[in-house]
Amino acid sequence: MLKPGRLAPYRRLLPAFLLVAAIAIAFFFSSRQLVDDALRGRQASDLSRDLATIRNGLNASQSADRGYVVTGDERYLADYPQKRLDVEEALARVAKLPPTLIDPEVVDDLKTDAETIMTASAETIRVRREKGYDAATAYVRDGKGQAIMQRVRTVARRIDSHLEDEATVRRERLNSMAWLTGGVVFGGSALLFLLLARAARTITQSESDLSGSEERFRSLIEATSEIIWTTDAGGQMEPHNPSWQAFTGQTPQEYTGTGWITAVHPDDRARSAERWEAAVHYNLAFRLEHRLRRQDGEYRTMSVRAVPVFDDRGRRREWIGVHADVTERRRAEAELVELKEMAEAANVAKSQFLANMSHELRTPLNAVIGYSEMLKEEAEDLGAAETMGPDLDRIRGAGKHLLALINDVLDLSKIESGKMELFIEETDLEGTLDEVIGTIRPLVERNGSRLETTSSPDLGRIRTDVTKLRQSLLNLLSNAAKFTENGVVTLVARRSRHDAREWVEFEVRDTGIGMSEDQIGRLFQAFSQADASTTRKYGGTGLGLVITRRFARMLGGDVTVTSVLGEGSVFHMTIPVETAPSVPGEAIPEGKEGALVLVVDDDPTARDLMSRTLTKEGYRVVLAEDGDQGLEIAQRMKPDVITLDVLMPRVDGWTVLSNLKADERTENIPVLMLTMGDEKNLAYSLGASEFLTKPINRDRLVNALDRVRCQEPICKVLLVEDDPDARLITKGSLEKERWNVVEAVDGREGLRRLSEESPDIILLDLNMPNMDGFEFIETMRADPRWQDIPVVVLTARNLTNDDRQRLNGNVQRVLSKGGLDRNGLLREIRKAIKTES
Amino acid sequence: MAKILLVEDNEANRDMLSRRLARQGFDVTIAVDGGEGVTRAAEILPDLILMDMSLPVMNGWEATRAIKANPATASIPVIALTAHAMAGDREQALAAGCDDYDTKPVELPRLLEKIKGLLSVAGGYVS
Repeated sequence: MLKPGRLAPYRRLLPAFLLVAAIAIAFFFSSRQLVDDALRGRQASDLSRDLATIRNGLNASQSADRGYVVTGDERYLADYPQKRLDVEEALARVAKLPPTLIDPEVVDDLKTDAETIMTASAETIRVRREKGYDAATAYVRDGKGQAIMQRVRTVARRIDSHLEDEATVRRERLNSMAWLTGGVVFGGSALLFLLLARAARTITQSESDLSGSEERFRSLIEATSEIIWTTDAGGQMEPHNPSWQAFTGQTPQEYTGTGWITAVHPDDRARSAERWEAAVHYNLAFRLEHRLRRQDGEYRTMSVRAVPVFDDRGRRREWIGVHADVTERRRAEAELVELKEMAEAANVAKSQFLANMSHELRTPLNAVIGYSEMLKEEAEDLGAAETMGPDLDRIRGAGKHLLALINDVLDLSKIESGKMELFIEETDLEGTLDEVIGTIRPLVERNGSRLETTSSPDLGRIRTDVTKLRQSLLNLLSNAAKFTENGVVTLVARRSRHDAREWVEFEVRDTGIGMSEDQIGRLFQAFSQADASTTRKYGGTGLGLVITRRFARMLGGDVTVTSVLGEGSVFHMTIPVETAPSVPGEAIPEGKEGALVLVVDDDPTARDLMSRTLTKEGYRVVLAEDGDQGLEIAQRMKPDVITLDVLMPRVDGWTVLSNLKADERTENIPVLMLTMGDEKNLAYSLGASEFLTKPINRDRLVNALDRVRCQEPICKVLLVEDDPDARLITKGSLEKERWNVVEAVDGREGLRRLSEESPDIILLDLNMPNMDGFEFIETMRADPRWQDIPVVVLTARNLTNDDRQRLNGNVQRVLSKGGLDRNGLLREIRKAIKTES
Repeated sequence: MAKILLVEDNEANRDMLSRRLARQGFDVTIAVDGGEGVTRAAEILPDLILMDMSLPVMNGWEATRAIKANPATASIPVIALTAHAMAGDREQALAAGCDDYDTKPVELPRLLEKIKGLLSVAGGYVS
């Protein structure tokens, strides 16, 4: 089917087409006329010949009878019967001709005349033969033969003349026909020529377009720093790949086919070849990072992408691929990570130093405070309180202030170094409040202010870290007291319910000096008290509010503030009625708030819990109850992060993960895998017998091996471990215990060794290149020969950066759901989102 | 006169607290580390023990456990003294068998309250 667009160039030729068609039709009809003419011409010539035969025959018979009359010699009559027969036959033929050629009346007349002449001739001969010469001569002289003969000649001449006219017409017609034929042929040829010319022009045009785009393509290849290469449909690299040649220095003979692999770093070759084969086999887009040898011999980290190109009929025509040099980018990224880690380590060290320092500072300070108090007691005993008392009070006061500063700094550094722990216990909230109020009232009243408290009667008991709650309330209240002179400080406590949880809300209101927007902005930042002059006037470290907010957040709540300069401030603190106990956490990085988190989990309780926790932290949460739904939502909503349960019915987490990573829309979304147990349990569920964490403790290793020790004197152990040092150390320990050690550097080699050596036990590292431990166990357990070989899994306690890179960005972290605490989870989510943004 | 055993390694703290307690009318005996604390407790059988937690040789928790494990000294009330209010120290102290705890720097009136409370329960000394 021609597309309309492709018809357009031919539209202008339409008149020419019509003209040629008209000529052809005329030509057709003329041809038929020509055929008719040919037939008539032949008939005419037959007629003409017959007329001649008749005329000759009649002349001949007359001549014959005259000759016989004169001579009486019979020889004159020799031809006579034949001539007579010829005339009769010719007359018969003429009679059969179509009336259009000769009028039947003319034919009849002709026939009558001919028969008259013939009869007269026959009569003349009979008279001569019977009555002699004179009678015959008289008969001839009387006869009308001559007149009749004259009439015959006239008719014949007239017919001939008519035939001659017709022949002229036919000739002319033939002549014009020849012209017409010539015209048709010429016109057709001209049109054909036009068409050919146009076609030729179109071809020339597309050829020039093609060469133009080829030119552009070539310039592009030359201009870009990337290597652009092509292979045939079967994935064999083609000989003409100049940018490959330019980068690697390989000759076409070297790289053609599969020769390119030799330019890939030896450690990356197997993986590259395997992935490429898979891509070609399954028609998948090819993506990979590997090291490629540049012509100067340096290996460069290249990001590789290739896609199959299909022809109009959907058959794969070739592959086009791009190698982009990402060495510098990767190096910069690694440096950034390193710098970040250094900075974090420095921060932890700083906090650690502060914590230790604070402790060291406090001991002598205790002595200062203690002795000043003691001296005052002694001064009182000696009656010297009047003179020495005020000075001793100043020493004690300064000491107390310094102690408070140190304590705040210590608290903050503990929070920042992740050493601040929560101790959750059940407590009577009213009792705690009474205690706080009792402590704070003197402080408020000292500034001439009044403390008002309101608490709803249903406060009841809560589960929280009482020490931190108490300290937070004291901080808020003493802050209010400090900045309020001759005013009112109000404490309100009440229960509330929102976000599907029970909360306790505290409100501390004052009529003090208030704060500007700018001051509020810096309020919760460490070491930036609202105003340096404030410190001088009101004292304090400026850390109290920072610590209070951190404490409130650790407890699952928060502190917010509203204030009007000169009118006072309102601090609002909420904490949950139930705070989950937690293990000591690292410092929680601030996350991107309002980010969308997709929670994929089949367990409704787990979903609910995650949803609550995340919502509370300001995340938007969307839930999926199985893998399919999760994939659908992920593609549609593109969340900032996905938490994925590993164990789900139908489609498990790992499958969902691989689908997420295979889809362009979702491949860059960070995914947190949540497992019921830890990696250990995961390994067990895959079929491991034992589990050891690295660095490997020799005794534990030997014990683990003893439990599975074989019966024979020397047992064979297969050690699958990619780290050469770890391999060496483990091997050493094993050989000391008289084990026969077979080594493998990755899962793939492990499988090979497995079939060669049939070991009694396998020691398996989980994180390895090419084929990792999980894959190794899965493959191995699928084979009935190896199902019963015990496997001891070895794994690093923490994923190193290297490990993370090996995971190729597929999994941000595998988290243990069982031991998963709220802070840990949030930290991971924030990290994941941060990595992305 | 109630006998108090003060186990404290820091000389300044020890001197200060012992003198202040003595001023309050207590008979104060001193031990400078956990081991000595356990020994002295068995020797003098004090009415109450003030035990610093971070001690050399044997720390306060271990010493307390040892004292509470000895039938002769098991009933003697022990007040743990811990540096700064480290949440968790209190739980650990109570778990080790301490009867109460207080934080350093010592606020004498508060400490005296606790001492008197425990002594009256133990039925020994009434100030």
